[in-house]
Amino acid sequence: VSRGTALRWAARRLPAVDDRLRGDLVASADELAARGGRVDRALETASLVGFALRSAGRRGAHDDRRELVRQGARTGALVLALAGALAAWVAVAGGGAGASGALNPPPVVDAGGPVAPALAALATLVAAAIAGGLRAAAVVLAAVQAAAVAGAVAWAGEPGAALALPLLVLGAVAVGRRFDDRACPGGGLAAAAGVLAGAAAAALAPAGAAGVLGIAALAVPAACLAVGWFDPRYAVAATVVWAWRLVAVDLGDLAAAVGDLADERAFRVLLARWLLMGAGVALAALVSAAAIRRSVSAFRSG
Amino acid sequence: MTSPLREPTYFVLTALAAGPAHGYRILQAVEELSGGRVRMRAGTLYAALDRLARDGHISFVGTDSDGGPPRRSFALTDSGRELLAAEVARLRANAEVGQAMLRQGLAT
Repeated sequence: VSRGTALRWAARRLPAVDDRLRGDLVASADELAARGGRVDRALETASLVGFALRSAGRRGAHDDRRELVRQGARTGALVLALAGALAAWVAVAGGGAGASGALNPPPVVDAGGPVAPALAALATLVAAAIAGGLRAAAVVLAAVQAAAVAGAVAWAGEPGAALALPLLVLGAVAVGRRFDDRACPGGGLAAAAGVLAGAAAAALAPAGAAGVLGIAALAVPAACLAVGWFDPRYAVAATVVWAWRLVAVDLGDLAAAVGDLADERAFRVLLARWLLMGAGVALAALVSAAAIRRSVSAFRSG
Repeated sequence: MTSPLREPTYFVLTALAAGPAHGYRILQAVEELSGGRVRMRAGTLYAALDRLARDGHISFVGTDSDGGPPRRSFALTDSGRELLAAEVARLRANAEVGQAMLRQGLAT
C-alpha cells in the first residue's frame, strides 16, 4: 500500500464532486499525500469525505433549505418505517409486543392472533413504498397503517404509544421528498427483502434479533447525526427519529406520574428520560440548522 | 448589508488576487499569507472554490493534464475582485475605528 492510498482514492472516486474540480483535486491530493504524515493524510481524507457529503446534499437539494428538510424528513420516515417493520416481525416471532422492547419504546401493539402478522406485513409494505420512491402509495399505505394500528390499540386497550411511529411516518412521508426525481423500484424491493430477511432471522433467534434491533436503534440515528454534520438531510432524518422517541415515551405514564407526585421516583425517572429524549431532539435540530446554514451559505460567516 | 467573509475564504480570494493558481498552490499561499495562522484542508478549500465558482466570483482557467485528469487553475473574476475589495474596505474601516478609539484612549 503506497503512501496516501486512501487520500488518492477519495480524490479520484468520491461521487458528487464537480467534474471541473476533479483534475485539480486529484493533483492536489497527490501533492498532499507526498508531503504529509499519516495523521495529516487521514485528516485530509476525512475533509474530502466531508466535502463530498456536503456537495451531495447541496446538489441533491438544489441549494434549497426547504428541499433539504423535505428530503431529510423522507429519509427519517424511511428509517422509522424500516425500524417499525423489523420490530413488528420480531414481536411476531417472539409472540408479543414485549419481544420488540429492544426498540425502546416498542412501536408495536400487543394485538395477538392474525392481527400482529398483518400489521407487520403492512409495515413492510410502507417501508418498501418509501424506499421505492412511490410517494403517493407510501402516503396511502402509511395512512392505512396508522388507522389499523389505532384500531388495534383501541381493541387491545393499550395506552397508544405504538401509534406514535405510524403517525410520525405518515407526517414525515407526507412532507418528504425523495433524493432524486425518479422512483426506484429496486430500492423498494431491497427494503422489503431486507425486512423479510430480518423477519426470518427473528423467527430463528428472536432474542438475538431483538438485541441487534436495539443496537441499531442507537447506532443508526447516531450515524445519521454524524453524517448530517456535512449533509443536512441526514441530520433532519436523525431529528425525525429522535422526535419519535420523544413522542412515544409513554405520554400516559408521564401524565399519570405528574398527577401522582407521591410516586416521586417514577416521576423522576420519566422526567429524566423525557429530558434525555428532548436533548436528543434539540441536538439533532441544532446540527440540522447549522448544517443547512453552512450548506446554503458556504463562504460567509454568520 | 452582507455578512463578513469567512477568514479562509478571504485568504483564498487574496491568494488569487495576485494571479491564477491551482488548488495546492492556493493551500500554500493561504498558509503563507496568514502567517501560518490559517491552514486549510483540501475538503475545505475545494468546498470554498466550488461555491465561489458557482457564485461567479472565480473562474476556471487553462488546463494542464500532465498525464492525469486535466488540472485547471482558478482566477478571480471581476465579481470576485469586487467582493474582495468590499471586504478589504470593511476590514480597513473597522481597523480605523479601532485605531481612532485607541488613540483617543491614549490622549485622555
